[in-house]
Amino acid sequence: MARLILTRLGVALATLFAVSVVVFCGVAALPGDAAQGVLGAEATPDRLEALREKFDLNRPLVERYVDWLAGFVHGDLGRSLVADAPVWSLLDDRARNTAALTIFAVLVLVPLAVVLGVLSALWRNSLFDHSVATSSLTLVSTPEFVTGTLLAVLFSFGLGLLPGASLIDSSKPITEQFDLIILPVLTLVAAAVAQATRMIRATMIETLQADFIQAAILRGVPRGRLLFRHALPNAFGPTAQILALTIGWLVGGVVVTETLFQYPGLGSAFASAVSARDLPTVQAVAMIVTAVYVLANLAAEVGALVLNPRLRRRTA
Amino acid sequence: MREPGRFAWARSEFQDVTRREVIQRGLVGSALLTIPGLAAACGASSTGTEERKASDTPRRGGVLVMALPGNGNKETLNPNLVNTDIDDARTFPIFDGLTKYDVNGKVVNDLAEEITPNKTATEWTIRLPEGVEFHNGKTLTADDVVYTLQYNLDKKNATLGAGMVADVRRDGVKKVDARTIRLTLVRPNAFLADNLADFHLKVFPEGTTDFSKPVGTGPFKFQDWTPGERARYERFENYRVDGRPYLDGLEILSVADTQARVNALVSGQVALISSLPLTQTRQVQNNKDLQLIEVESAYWIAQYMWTSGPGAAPFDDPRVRQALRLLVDRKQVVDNVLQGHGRIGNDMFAWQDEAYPEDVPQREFDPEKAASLLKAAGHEKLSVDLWTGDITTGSLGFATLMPQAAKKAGVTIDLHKVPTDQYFSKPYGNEPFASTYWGGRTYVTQCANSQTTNAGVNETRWKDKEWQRMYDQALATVDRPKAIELLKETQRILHDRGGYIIPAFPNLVDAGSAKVGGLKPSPMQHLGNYQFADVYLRA
Repeated sequence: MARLILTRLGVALATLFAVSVVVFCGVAALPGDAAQGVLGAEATPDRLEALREKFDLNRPLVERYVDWLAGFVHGDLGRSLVADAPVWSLLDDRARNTAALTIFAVLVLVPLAVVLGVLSALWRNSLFDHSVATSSLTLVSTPEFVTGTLLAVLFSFGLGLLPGASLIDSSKPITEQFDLIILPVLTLVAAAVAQATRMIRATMIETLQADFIQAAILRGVPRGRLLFRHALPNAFGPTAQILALTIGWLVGGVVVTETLFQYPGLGSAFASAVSARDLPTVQAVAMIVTAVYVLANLAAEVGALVLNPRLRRRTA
Repeated sequence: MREPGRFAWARSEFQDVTRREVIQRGLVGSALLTIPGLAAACGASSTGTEERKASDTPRRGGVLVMALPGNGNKETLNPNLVNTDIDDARTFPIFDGLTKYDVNGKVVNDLAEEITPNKTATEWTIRLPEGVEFHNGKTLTADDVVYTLQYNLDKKNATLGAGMVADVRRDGVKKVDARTIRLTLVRPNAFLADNLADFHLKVFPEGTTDFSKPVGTGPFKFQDWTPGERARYERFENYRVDGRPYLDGLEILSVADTQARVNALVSGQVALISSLPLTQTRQVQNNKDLQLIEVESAYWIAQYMWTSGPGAAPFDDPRVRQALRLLVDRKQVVDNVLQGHGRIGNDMFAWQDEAYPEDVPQREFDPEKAASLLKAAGHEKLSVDLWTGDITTGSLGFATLMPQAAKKAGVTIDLHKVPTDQYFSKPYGNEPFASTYWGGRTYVTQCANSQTTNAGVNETRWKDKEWQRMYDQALATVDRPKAIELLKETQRILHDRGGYIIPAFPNLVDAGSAKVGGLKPSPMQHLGNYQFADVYLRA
């Protein structure tokens, strides 16, 4: 198993490297550079030249990439061009905010998706199953900006219960601003719950139809015991993987939700860094998101291995 | 973004809205709500929101929280580099200039007690008042002003206000005594005081090199900030105007998304927002807890045309420019694109300036005259490319209307739309016919930016000898009324054959809680030109 984890780690590093190259080239290929991003229409030729010199934009792309990579492997994310400050000092609060948003979303999403998925599988083709399917599929096909706006209209303007914009104050702990995080969490959960529920339902149905469950049923194992002792543990591996995928998606997919509620997280930082052509910041966010995504998948795989002795033996 | 870069001016205390402005604001009719406190103070009529009683007296205390369009990591507190609305809003409370714009956009003294040219307008003397204090306790002296101006003259600092002091000799900034400064110019400029009102030319203490914790003489002291998020200020107790500011502090939040700003206002998280979407003005008016803050502005949207140089054809022919200007239905631009929230333009800028020639007839939509001009110029089947983007309120709409209207004179306009974040790096400045916009400036300041031979951004490649001669003559004329007459003549030339099509001046449309009082809308910049010393919060 150790070898498998090492292999997977190698793949993860290769993925990070590939993403860094693609993102670096992608931003460099966009029209305009950071000097133009900062100056906008104030960009006279000599101001542009002065800023390009200051931002070190006149050197070849490859050289700049190698410099960035050398810094990155030493744990240095570099300096933001436009803000003239270390990238991490600009992103730490935002990473904390996005982490909080994702964690709260997962805390709501996982129990919800598991309960809905398992119950739908148990009572498949019942009224319950159909209503869960219909409502979750409706939600998943509604873009986040629609769901989010509807939630804001209902809870903020209609009922006056929650603030309409998530104007987080990074100098205070997030727990003191809990009301600001509820609507973005609900929006994310609404978008993610359908897929997770459907996949858990499918996994569960498959497990329930497996021979060993059928045998257990024939042996007269009570329904509750059947579910918790036999079916659920076996469905856990695939379920963990589904949830890991969803978590990866959440981290990368918060851009729209963060923008909609003006939540100061990595997503909105990424969007503004791209429009300013601030390469070091773009790279840093891309690396953080990719790393979380890759690690979540790795964790899911390892989790599945640990829980399923057959898999463990086969790959050992 | 360019918007901001261009508008902001200085502060305006104690200036009430003039009769003229009240009338002008009346023109926008029911769409326009005056601020209750202002209405009471100057007798302007207020429609829609419930009018406050004249007994509404300013209250001390409270922190005013506002949300403005954000710019992420690009945001700065360095007054020499401010380039967006939110940067203006965040630096204006901290700093003062030597001169400033009053609530009508006229230049008045700010820190300067006196600022006067010699008889040939080649030398200016600035006199400072006694006892003005910086936030760090230091007293303002001539040394600080000399340092500030020299900082701007030093090319290596690449300040955005450098162009406004370009007429000052590099070695021409001299301290005469502790409260007097003398400036020697490279060429006569009787309007230097106008240029010094530029929002980049803020006075900071001698020796300042780091602006991360900015220190100025303004009504509010900087506390802390996170770029892309929020900046906090507290009242400056030793502010030079007694009893001001009323507020204990300010919080200026960066909110990039338009709808999120509106949501924050409606749900009571913030008390002021700028740049309200035009589609939501009615909702704000119908909500008794909110007020619409709208004013006719000196901002303008335009298409620029190259008037000279390689690649300028066919626009280098004045008849082609005149024809294209005749092919704009300006009323349609104001009524449909700006939904009535704007003032019709006449291809001249700075309508608020005393150098604006009011008697020039309004250019109307006239396809027949356009066709005959083009025929005379030998461009009967004229076909041109127009480059545009959604760069500010009304830009895209104005450009989109042009091809349809031009067809009536047999002119083909091919419209090319470019994403906003790419617009200023690619087509803008490289194509001879494209969209642009500018903020509120005086006529002379605008010319120094875009018209004169040494202008920083001469978008129209304007090199008209007659215009330049007359303009130089005006700038060398210390007799103000005479100089203004000459400037009016130069405006007439721009109306006749200049390179801009200026269809409209979009209004500044902001919104706030009904609790906010004392904010005086200004044509120069959003939210009363970000002058918060007189602003107060009702209980």
